[in-house]
Amino acid sequence: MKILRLIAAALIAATPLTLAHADEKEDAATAVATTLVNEAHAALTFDGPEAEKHKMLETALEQAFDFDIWERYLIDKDQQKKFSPEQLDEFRALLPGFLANLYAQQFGKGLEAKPVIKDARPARNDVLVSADIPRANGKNLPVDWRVRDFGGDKGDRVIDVMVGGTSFLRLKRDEFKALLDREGPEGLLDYMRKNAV
Amino acid sequence: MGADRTREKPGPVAMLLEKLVSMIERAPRLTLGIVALLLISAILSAATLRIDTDSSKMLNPDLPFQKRALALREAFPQQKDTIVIVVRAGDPDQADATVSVLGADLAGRAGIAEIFAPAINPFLLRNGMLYLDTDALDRQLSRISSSSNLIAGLREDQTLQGFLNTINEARALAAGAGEEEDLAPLYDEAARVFSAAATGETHDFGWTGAFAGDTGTTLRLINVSPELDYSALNPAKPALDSVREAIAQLGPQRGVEIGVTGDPALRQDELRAVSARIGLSLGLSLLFVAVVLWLALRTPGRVALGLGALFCTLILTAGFAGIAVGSLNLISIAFVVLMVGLGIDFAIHFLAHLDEKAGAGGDVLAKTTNSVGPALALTAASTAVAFFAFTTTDFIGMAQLGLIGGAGVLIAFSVALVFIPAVVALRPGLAHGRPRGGVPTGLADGRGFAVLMLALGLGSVFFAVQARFDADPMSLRDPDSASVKAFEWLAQDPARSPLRVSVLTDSADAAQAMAEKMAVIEGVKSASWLGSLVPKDQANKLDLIDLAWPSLDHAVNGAPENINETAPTTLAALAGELANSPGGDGLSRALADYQAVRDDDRDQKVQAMLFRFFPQMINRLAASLNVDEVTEADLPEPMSRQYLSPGGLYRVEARPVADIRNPQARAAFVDHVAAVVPDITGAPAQIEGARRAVASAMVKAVGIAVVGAGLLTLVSLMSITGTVSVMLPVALAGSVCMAAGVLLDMPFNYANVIVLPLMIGIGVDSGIHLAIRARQAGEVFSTSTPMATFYSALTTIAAFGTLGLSDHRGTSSMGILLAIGLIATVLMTFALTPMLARMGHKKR
Repeated sequence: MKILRLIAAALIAATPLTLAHADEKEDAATAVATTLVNEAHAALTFDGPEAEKHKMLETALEQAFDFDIWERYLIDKDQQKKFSPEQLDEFRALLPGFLANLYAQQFGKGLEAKPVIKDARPARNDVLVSADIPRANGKNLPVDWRVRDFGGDKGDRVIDVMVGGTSFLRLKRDEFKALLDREGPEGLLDYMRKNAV
Repeated sequence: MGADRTREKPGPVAMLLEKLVSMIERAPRLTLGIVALLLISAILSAATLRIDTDSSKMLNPDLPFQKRALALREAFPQQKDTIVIVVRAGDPDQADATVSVLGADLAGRAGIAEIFAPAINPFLLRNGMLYLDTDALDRQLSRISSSSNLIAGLREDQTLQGFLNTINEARALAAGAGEEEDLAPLYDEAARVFSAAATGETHDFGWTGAFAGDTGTTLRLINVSPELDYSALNPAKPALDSVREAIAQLGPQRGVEIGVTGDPALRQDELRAVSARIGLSLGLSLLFVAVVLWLALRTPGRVALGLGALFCTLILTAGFAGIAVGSLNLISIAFVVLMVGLGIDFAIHFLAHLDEKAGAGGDVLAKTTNSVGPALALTAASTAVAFFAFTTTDFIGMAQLGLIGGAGVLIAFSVALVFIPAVVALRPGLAHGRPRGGVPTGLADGRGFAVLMLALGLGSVFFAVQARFDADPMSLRDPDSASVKAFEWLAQDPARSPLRVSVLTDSADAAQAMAEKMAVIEGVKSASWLGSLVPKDQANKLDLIDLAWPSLDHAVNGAPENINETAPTTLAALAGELANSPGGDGLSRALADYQAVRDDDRDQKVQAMLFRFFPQMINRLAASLNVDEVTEADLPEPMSRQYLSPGGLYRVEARPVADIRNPQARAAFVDHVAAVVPDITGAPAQIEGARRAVASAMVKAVGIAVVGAGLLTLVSLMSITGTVSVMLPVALAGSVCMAAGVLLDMPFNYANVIVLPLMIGIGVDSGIHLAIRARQAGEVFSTSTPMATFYSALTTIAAFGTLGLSDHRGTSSMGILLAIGLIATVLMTFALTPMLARMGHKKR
């Protein structure tokens, strides 16, 4: 009986710990997403030179995004074999600017209002942080930031952006795959060069 | 030797038989009483006879391939015992819905121990994505991910208006991204639904096809493990009855076919096919036999006596079979054919001689016995030797038939010399016939006829050597029976064909090594073992699923977002928008056609068609949200049991590249694999093993039969020419029969192979009678012997040629080949035997 009581007590004690842990994860993810949208908003509404504006946006993304994940999904192992080491280096170098440009195109309208972080919820091993991004027409675009806790120095990072359940990473992966199949690594790099900030 | 020796004085056999008949003549009632007692005992014994259609039991269990098959069956009994329900539908949703309803209905029904239906198994619903090829999974996830908001929208509003709004939203979104072609599968499926609705037809929306790209004819299986009742003729009958009852209660499903196969179902249908039309066949047989006997014996009393002798022979032989073998197989059951053919032969010969001697007065029975008795004894002995030769082979089916046939011939001989004399002693009038019928014009021997038949026989050798034995039990079965059709559905699909070879190993490491070894053998498509059930490339697949997981979750649980903020649309407006969308013109036309005939009733119907399978797709997506890494320990028991026995034996299975329903492809596949892994078993290996064992057994048995019967004939006739005159026509007739089988594409099989021993029996039997008569009387065709021989063979053809009407391919081919073989035997014997016998006699 004593053992049973001990087990019961341990279980009861562990439950709030688990919940607390989940809350902490969501809070940390929310903090990353909040910082991202705020800094990105600041960059997009920056009134200074275009180059500085782009740099601010790129820096905001670099601080929030995990580019390793993006790289791994955008060009998988088989596709990477098509790249020379120099081409891979250039791909990595272009990626932040390409994503910054994508961010600006998708969310850089209706900048009068600041994006609003709404809530966070668990998504398998990650956390989805929901936000409303203002649009030019005055209405909001619902966006989910998928944040993963990598632990260590890396901490929480955005690994995907989702609109209406559709994954940007997934969309871009399909787009890159088609481009690579059609035009090879040079074609893809050319496309990224043209579409990076 | 080399010279003929005509017996002018009664020999010892004639004297012995004459004494026996004299005793019977003195006490006919006592004799018939003893016969009656024997008949009653035989009936009691025959009542215990059972029929086993398992063709694997027709060969010696000590043969290496049989031992391996037995070991496989003992370790993995479900390979043979499982009833397989095959659901074939126009698309995956229909198939899954049917499996879902049927699977739930079957659970708990009588005789059913366990059900395993992959389409509704929780483990596979959860982890099914991991079993897809990585590229296919990638494509599928891409489709679902980009459609997740559309699915969420439909989930929220499962009405016609909801469908139109959601499609319009998806169209607007795709148009904005320039990706409208991606919606083409969805548009096309919707077009089919609205077109059907416009014309009053039904087409349920195939959601799995539209989103997962999984389209076209779909096979789904439900494996039913029966509770086996070994006291019944078919141990799986209660389960089969339950399965068929459940299918009947489910009723016809639109666009869905349901078949039941697996060994228990195949064997049940086979028994049914064997017995189908047996009434018609039996009725026609009796009619034909009566007509032939009438032509041969000419008075009702003598026809009845001949039939009485035949029935006595049949009953006593069945009684013997009950004691000697207990259980008949597909071949030994044909003893009935043999006994009609041979049983009536002795009776006809005895009655024909009786008639011949009746005019001379005196003790007719004694004279008849003295005259025909030795010939009957010799034919009985030589024919029995021919049959007993088959007992020496590994071919148990034929060995059983040889034992029963050999004993049956001796019984028929005894009945002719005991039962007929006893009845004739009580009714002496039965000895007299009316003027007997002759053999048809043209059969009487002549040089031209002999040359023609000799040429035919020799010419037939060219084709006869191409004869083959088809050991595939499926070749015997009715192709139109439900279980064979369902088997064909599986066999046509290389991924599901049951025609695979297996090998047993005693450890996981050995199994893995064996699978790797077999996978690279020529002709092998893939090799599987327990480890093959654990999905490959899981890290990559789980990565891809992880990437798409929020999209899946949104489709299943999320609230739809009106991203493009499109306003609610109308059917006509959507038709207009789609007319200019890439890939949307088909749906645009279908919507316009539907709009023209639209009413509330039709709207209700189209709404039902649109969403009938939608909840099923949502449930499947929901189950897949919990996908996780799969290890061997996670596999459901019905899956792992396919490859790991309770005793710890591992089965490794190799799948062929070619369609091995073709005999040549099957032989090549088995040869290739056996060259590397000699211990293989499974259906293809067993069929090939059986084919070779049977071919060897038949050569050995026919050799012994011919040599044995030939030697006995030689010893009795003391003449090489006489022996040749008996054996040569039999050999040529055999060649003609085999050639006919080749030309008619009717290979020998487990059922029709009995034609050969029957031909030897009847051929030797007829040949001896004609040879003896030719030497005794010179002009043989003026005696009763040709008539007796001719009508004896005709009786067998009349009795069993009607088997050609059977639905069972084995039985049908037996009837056809039997007719051809016996006609060839009669023609060859009539053409050659008297002429050769006389040549030898003249030489002397």
